[in-house]
Amino acid sequence: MHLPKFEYLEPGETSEVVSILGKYRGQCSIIAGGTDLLVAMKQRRQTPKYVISLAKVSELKQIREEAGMISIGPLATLEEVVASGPIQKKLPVLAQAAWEVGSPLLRTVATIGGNLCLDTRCRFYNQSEFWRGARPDCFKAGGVICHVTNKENTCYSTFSGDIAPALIALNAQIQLIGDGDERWLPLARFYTGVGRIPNLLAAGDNEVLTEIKVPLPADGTKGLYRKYRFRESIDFPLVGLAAILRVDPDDGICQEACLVFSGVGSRPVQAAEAENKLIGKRLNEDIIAAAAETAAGEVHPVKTDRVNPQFKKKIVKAMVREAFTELGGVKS
Amino acid sequence: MSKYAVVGEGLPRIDGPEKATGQAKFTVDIKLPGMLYGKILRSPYPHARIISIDTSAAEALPGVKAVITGKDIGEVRYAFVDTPRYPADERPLAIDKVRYIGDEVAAVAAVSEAVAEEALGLIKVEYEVLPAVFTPEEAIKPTAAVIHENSLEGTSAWEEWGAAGRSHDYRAEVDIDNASARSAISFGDVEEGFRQADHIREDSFDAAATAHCALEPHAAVASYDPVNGKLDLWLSTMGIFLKRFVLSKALKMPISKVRVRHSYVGGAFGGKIDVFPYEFCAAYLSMKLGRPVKIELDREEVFTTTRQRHPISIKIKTGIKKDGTIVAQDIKLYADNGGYRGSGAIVVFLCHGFSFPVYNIPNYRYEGIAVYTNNPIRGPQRGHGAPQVRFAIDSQLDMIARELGLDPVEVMLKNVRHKGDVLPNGDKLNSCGLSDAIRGAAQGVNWTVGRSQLNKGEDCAKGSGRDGARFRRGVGMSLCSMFSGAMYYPFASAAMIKLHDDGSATLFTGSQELGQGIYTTLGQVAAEELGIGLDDIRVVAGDTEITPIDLGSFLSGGALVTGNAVKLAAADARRQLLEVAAEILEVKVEDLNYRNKQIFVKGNLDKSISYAKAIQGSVFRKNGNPIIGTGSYKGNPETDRYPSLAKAKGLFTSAYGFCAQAVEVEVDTLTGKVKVLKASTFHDCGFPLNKTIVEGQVEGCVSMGMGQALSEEIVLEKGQLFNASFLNYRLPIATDTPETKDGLVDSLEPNGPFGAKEVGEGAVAGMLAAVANAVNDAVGVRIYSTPITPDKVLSALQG
Repeated sequence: MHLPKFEYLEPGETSEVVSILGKYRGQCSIIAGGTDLLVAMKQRRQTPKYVISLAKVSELKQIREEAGMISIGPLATLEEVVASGPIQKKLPVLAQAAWEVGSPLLRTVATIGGNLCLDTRCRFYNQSEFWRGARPDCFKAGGVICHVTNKENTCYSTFSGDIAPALIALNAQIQLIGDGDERWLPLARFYTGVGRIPNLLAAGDNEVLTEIKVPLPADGTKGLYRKYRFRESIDFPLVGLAAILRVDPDDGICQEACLVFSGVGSRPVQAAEAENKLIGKRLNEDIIAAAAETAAGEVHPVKTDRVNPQFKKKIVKAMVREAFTELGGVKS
Repeated sequence: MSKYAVVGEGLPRIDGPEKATGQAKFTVDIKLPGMLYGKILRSPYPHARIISIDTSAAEALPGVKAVITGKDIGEVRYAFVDTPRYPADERPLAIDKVRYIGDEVAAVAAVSEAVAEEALGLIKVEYEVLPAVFTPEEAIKPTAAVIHENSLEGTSAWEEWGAAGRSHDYRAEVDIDNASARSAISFGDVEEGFRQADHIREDSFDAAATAHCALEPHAAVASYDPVNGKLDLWLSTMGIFLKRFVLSKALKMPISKVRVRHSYVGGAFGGKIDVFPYEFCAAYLSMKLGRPVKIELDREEVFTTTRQRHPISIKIKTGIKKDGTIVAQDIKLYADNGGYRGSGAIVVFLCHGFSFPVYNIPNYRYEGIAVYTNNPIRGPQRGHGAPQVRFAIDSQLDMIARELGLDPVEVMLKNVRHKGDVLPNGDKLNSCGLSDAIRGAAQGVNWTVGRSQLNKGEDCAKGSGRDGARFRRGVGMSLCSMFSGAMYYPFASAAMIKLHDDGSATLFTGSQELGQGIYTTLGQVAAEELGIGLDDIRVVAGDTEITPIDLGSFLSGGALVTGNAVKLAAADARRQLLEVAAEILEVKVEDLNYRNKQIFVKGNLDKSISYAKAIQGSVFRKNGNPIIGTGSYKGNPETDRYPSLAKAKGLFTSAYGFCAQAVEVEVDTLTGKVKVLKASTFHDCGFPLNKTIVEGQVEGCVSMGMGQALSEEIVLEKGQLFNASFLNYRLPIATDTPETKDGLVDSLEPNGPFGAKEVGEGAVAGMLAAVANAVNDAVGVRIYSTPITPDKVLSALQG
């Protein structure tokens, strides 16, 4: 499979990136590591006229600690995120999540920004042009029908990034810079939940992701990222879970709990009701089991991969139980 | 100390340095001046009639040199099996119909792959989509769409060659339009056997289609020389002589005008033995254009349009005595061979042939039917039928043993065959180390202790996780057997050894290096027989023009059949060498001995001559004879026929390899995930010609078998393959691989060179039932289909 023809542009400044995006609105793709984009292009799911590389925009690569927070340039590779001292020490959940992405080879080129912008996936959509030619185009590919549900004008493709759940659980903010305009927003709001256009940059407007800021968690916060998949490496998560827990050291009451999933919807899914079952309680086996049950009810996976949605719900339940049993030091 | 100097040792591979330094050439590395690149247009529909093909826009694209369709080629048919009973049913490019998604419709040659790819998009094909069938169950219904309507006329390739007589069309025996093959076998009295049984079980099992996953994608380079009318081919192949035979007939060329070469092959596992349309098209385009043409498949094409392992549905009924003696077995199975027969006719024979040497079952009935569907084509894959049928037989035997309160291992030991047994077809087991293999494998997983979990009580069976530990361990076992070569075209292997005047030698062999180490192994056989070191041997291989014929590296005949040919060739060269030495030293040949390239007179070590001097002497004395040894060995020397595929009559092979596979697994009762912790594999390969290579083969089987037991599966919906990539196919990777413990049983096969027989395939077949049995041992649930996914285990656990 060969790449389709395109023009390759390599601007040196963020402002230049924005102006090119404005000039060729709707005809551009941004390339960072390229591990997601190049496959999409070879499969003709994306055929941009212009591919804008961020390779020369050096300001987007830094990882630094500031007052009360860590700032990460979207061009930092996942390997750099994994290896970063401040991240390992202060945001171990993020380091874990980055470590779980793909394989070592992929992590040395794939970037954290690219992982946040990862397109949603579906067994009918992530296929070659030849493969997709056997059926009418699906809604995400520009057609009408969703082959998973046989419904029109809808898309259930699944978000399966590993980084976003961890960063959402850590209350990360991101910066988007557009034409003479910049804005900060919580990462959770970056995701639309719309399978066809899963995030604010997917429609191809003239904005670019320039920075990720993560506030340092309060003392005593524990967290972990767990990834359920069939193989020990390479695979996307069937279910990913970022879990955060803070317990008052004096009375053992849960002060803060957060659960964000990947692989169970068209966006990262936060299980707010399950969190409420934990907050304000002293964790024990029954409370965790109840939260796990609730979390399974809050996710609505669709069969966009090989796995049966009911099985995914069971896995969600198992993962929540495991995660909070471990984080809460509860004996099972 | 070993009585041998060269064989047996785990000597480093002779192709190691070339491969480690990236110097080794594979077919994709072949680049010729003026070479063009080909691409194939394929059907997007599982079953459709071709109404029209318009190639004009593609032909007009700059850089395109030729576009061909089935009409250009005309009536050409070929197949892996091409006998009177099973006439060839494949065409290089479709003429009337397409029968699966990926079926070849047109081919393009252009100045670059990118241009060829672009041209494919410009070919307009009008199809009439036809109703399609996707499972054997649908295919055998009287109302099912018929996939191959016409009966096929003409003389089969094997008949033409003289290896096959007229036989009946299989269609007379089976009243199913979509049946593609049938094997029916029985011995003893199966009804009487069941009457004698104390316990009878009937079960159904399903084994999934799987992919070969060779890292090297399939490729072909063809270069036609119009001046001499010769066609040069470089192919990813397992048998250059079989490819030459099939391709020369399809191309309507004299066999000697086609020269097939291969450099190295990056893994095959059975997937590179069939002849494929891309190979024919590369040759045809090169002949049409007078320029070299290369066609390299992409990974999706390899997954979809080469070959897969047959998915097989197996019904099995077994009758057993209280003491564990099997008295009767009745097996009926359906294999789905996809849109063309592929190896359907072979697999329904081998599901019997690779399996019946394991247990001595006095009353036995077997029927295997292969059917056409509109799925991808299925062909040989490591073990070819054995993994599927062993999964059924040994899963069920484990269930029966438990029901009778017997240890499955004891039941296996009670029923296995032994050295000296004569099989119902007449094959004699001159070596059989099954019992030792079982004991060794069982010990490797600490069988008695490992099973204790379940022995503690049935309470841990259902709903685990609440009332027991989350992670449960269990052990399981399964057995398998395998041919060591058979009577398949070209029916024999030959070898030639040329001595050099420095005392070293060159071995000429038509065998195939696929990564399995055969050049090294054969080099060791030659060196041992000649009395020289492996360093003194060079191996010239992979060229039909300069090497003698060879069975090829499939059906596991490399060590025994080609090994014997090489040993005979070396013995022939040594005989000539000793004769001339006797003449020079003025003694009788019987008085001579040899070691380390030196020939000396017994009892008089001062009287000696070096190999180099003897060879030089031979050139002077024997009318210039520089000493060339030749040897040949047939697929099975005791018969001049290939076995009947229909009734499994006739001799199959000279020796069977055997294997016992035991595993210890851990089941996560919360998620259903199964992890193989330990694989204990005891293979009876007769004698390991190279210990390291043999271990590599066994471990390769373990890893492949484990993948197919737990995660690998060709996922199809309506004939469309959903996981045609390494990302989605889920081949196990290094981090998934268990601790392995390999043991070899030296049973010293008298028909084999230095006692060697099969090692490369058999061991893959034991893993499926071993894992299924271990899962059952761990958590008390039985999984009847492969792969044994977490989803299935969890559903079974939660009832």
